[in-house]
Amino acid sequence: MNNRNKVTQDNQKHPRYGMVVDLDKCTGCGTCSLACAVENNQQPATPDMTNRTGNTWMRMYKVHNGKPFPDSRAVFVPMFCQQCDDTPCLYVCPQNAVELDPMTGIVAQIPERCFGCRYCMAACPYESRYFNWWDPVWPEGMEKTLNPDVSPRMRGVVEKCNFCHGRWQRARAKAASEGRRELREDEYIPACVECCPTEALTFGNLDDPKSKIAKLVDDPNIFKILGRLGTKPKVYYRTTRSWVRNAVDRNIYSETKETVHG
Amino acid sequence: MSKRFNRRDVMKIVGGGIAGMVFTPIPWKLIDDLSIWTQNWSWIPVPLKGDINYKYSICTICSAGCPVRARNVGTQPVSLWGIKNHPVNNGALCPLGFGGHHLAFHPARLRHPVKIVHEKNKISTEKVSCADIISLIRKNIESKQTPQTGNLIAMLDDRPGRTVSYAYRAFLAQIPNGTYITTGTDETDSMQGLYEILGTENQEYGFNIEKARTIVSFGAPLLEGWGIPGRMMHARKNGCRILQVETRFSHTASVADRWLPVKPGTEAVFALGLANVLINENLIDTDKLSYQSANFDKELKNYKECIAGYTPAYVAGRTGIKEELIREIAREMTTETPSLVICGREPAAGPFSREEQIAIWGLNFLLGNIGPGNLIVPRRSVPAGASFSETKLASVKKISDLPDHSIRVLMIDEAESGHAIPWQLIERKLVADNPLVISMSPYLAGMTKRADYVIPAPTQYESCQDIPPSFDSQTATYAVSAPFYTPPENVIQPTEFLNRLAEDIGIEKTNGSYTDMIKERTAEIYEKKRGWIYIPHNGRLIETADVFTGQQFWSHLNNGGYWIDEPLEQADNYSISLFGISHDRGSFEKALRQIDKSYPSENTTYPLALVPFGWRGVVDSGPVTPLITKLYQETEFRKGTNRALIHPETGGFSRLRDGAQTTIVTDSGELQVRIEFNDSVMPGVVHVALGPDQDSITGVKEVRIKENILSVCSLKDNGTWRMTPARIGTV
Repeated sequence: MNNRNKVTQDNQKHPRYGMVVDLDKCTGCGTCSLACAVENNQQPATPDMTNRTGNTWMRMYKVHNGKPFPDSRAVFVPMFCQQCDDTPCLYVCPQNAVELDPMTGIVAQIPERCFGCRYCMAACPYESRYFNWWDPVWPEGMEKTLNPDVSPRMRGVVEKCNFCHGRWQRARAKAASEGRRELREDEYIPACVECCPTEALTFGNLDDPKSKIAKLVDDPNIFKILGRLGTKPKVYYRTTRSWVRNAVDRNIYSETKETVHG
Repeated sequence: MSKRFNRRDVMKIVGGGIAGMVFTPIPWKLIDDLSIWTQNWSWIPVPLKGDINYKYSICTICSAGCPVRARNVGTQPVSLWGIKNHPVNNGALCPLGFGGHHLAFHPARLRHPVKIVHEKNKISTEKVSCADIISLIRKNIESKQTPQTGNLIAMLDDRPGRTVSYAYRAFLAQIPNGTYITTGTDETDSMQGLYEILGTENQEYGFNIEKARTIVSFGAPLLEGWGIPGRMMHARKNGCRILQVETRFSHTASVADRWLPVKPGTEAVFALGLANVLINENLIDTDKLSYQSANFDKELKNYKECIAGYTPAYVAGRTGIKEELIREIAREMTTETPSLVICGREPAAGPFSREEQIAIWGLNFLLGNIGPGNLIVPRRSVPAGASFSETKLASVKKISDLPDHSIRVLMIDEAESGHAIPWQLIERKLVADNPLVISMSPYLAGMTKRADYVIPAPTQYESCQDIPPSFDSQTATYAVSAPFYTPPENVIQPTEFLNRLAEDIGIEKTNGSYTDMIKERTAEIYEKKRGWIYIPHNGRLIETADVFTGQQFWSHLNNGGYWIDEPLEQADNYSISLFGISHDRGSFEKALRQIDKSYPSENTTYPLALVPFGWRGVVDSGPVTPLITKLYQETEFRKGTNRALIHPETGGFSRLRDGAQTTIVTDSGELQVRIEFNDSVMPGVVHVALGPDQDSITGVKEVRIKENILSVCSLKDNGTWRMTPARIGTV
């Protein structure tokens, strides 16, 4: 709670990072999922892992318009931690393992504090938190390819997207070494944004009126998934198609099995 | 004063202790510590420490040749990224490319020559020496000198045009019965129909995708890794419209501006229907076309008569697309211009037949798309290099053109085409009696599992490799994939293996090392002083003529530079034949009739149409980054092997329930699958997924050859298997 108040008080001084996902541009290539896994040292699946026990911070859904052949249409929806300002997972964590960073507005997960009660997973309306059911194991030798800026998490903790926090620290250190306090707009972007081949993802400081994202957020075609819950997510979605807006907001979880096709 | 310590005191202490416990942090701390102690073990990996630096190279996983920037700790790449605004691919990398640096450590990696022992479906390996394998090949070559069927010594290479491909061809030209073959399953083969129409074999063509406002794609997975993936993504971002003609509701079809779900096997009929409307509604620019082709008037008259029967009403009945929509699409192709027609292929479902390709590519001629400055543009070929320019080379043959049981020794270059290759396609060309199959592969995966011996080759970023232009590139390009690692000790470069073999059988070896051969090729490109070279370090495009020396040119290429040729202003003269040069009108019409009646709806034994599907780069069962599980197993975003998608109506008819295990039965056999109801599937069609083989993701202790949907597809003599009549069997 204190953390959130700090953000509110200081938001003139510190950035408040957010993202816009343009669903009309996303082609469902899945590159963001892989780039996220590489950047954040997510382990590959063990043979017995399933779609319920997998660990994918950036998860792709294919949401259907519900009409049968030949009127079927679909949209691809990248889904990840929505970085809520009113953060349900933070409230329920008994260990203070969830932190709303006052410097960035990023909701961070601190694995060293987490003892795996999974209250936060139950509280998250976006199902964007993942429990590490297994020890993180890479095929022999492949551990050499891990990103040195991110520690692999241990078994028994919850993890999730943190807007590639390691990249923010790297960018901040670089800026500090050049005598700057503020980061340029392109200096810190998460891995998924960097790799998106159709530029469907836009990242930046929501509180900077000159930033690209701040202009995008004013677009009338912008919406927040489950916005009615009042969690104030900092991830926005954009589409010009009304059925996409309705289907994504209504169906993405409740009818996942029926609506997600390959 | 003394007081006895009685039972009440004990109760007080215990009670007080319990009450006190609630207010002390000790038990909570113990729980916390206990959870941490039991979560942290020595085997949890620690990332490398060291200096961070960046290097540039080129991805060689597929033939697209995407440039990469590697972030390294010391000499070890820890991530790969595209290079923003790169002129070749606009900085895009596909998911497989992101994991390219994992492949050197893949669990299916082979680090020593091995003999593969096949026991039923199980495989085990025994170490052998390279000399043993060479000796076996020599014996076969020496004992089968007579030039006759059954004695062929063949090299299968699905990425022709590389320097190593020329080395193979030079080697094979020197030995009796030496034959260089491709499977014809790659995307280059989908352009053969276009070359047939143009009557040219020597002139290469590419696509000016960036200029197209509309693309009518016949089965090409345009947004799923087609050609150089970044180009199509970029075109899409800039508003290029996609009309997807495909039975399946694929990823590309899902996001296309229009999805035209034709009945399986009727794509060519649909194309002829569009041609019929274009011609009969005078939507083509006859003046422009007459100017482009001398024999146009005669050809058009013949073609018009040939396709007269493919009226929108008839085509609507065959394809399932409404008559008015066919007219509308044809008109749209001439209003939303320039519009390009692409004849592609589904990575698992295999290529279109040559006649189908001709029917589809022919639309481009009617739209005036062919020639310099248009959408299908001629380009120069990349020279082979001094080592091969005056050497006799074996000709390139397609495996389906060889007689059955004709190959005695098959050597396989395991550079993947990214597309599925049914083993039956190869197996039926091998002699029945004890053929020898040798794979030059870094991994025990894909086709290598079927081999008798394996020569372990260097993998991605372990050796210098060259990248000829992708089939879709509009100009010639050339790049060199510079290595990041040194390969393990017993790994052998295929050209080195060929040299040892050449020495053993007493024929001429190639000059110098493989890197030297690539260097010679770059020297020849440099000598022309044409085009530009893109320097990734500073994002500059410099003219080749401005590079001072050949050594400097090589140095640029070896550091991630990319050579891009100038556009070709004039093409070789061509004489259009809308029936293809290998057909006359009669034989083309006969082939069309054959295609037209292929939909199996009236087949009572096998009433369903089986169409396999998969994702380029994964369906070939070659190794992929283990992180690909994020898209398959961990999310089911893409469908895993043997998942069968059917319309609920089809399922109900077969008395199936969603999730049921059942069998798909065809003339070629049966396969167990898991049913998934999906109401975007065409009724009467069953799509079965071909995903990554588990061995190719994580490797397993017991390697097996697993049956997949390709093993029950009926393979036609022309090497296609797009659709197979099938039925759903009993559980």
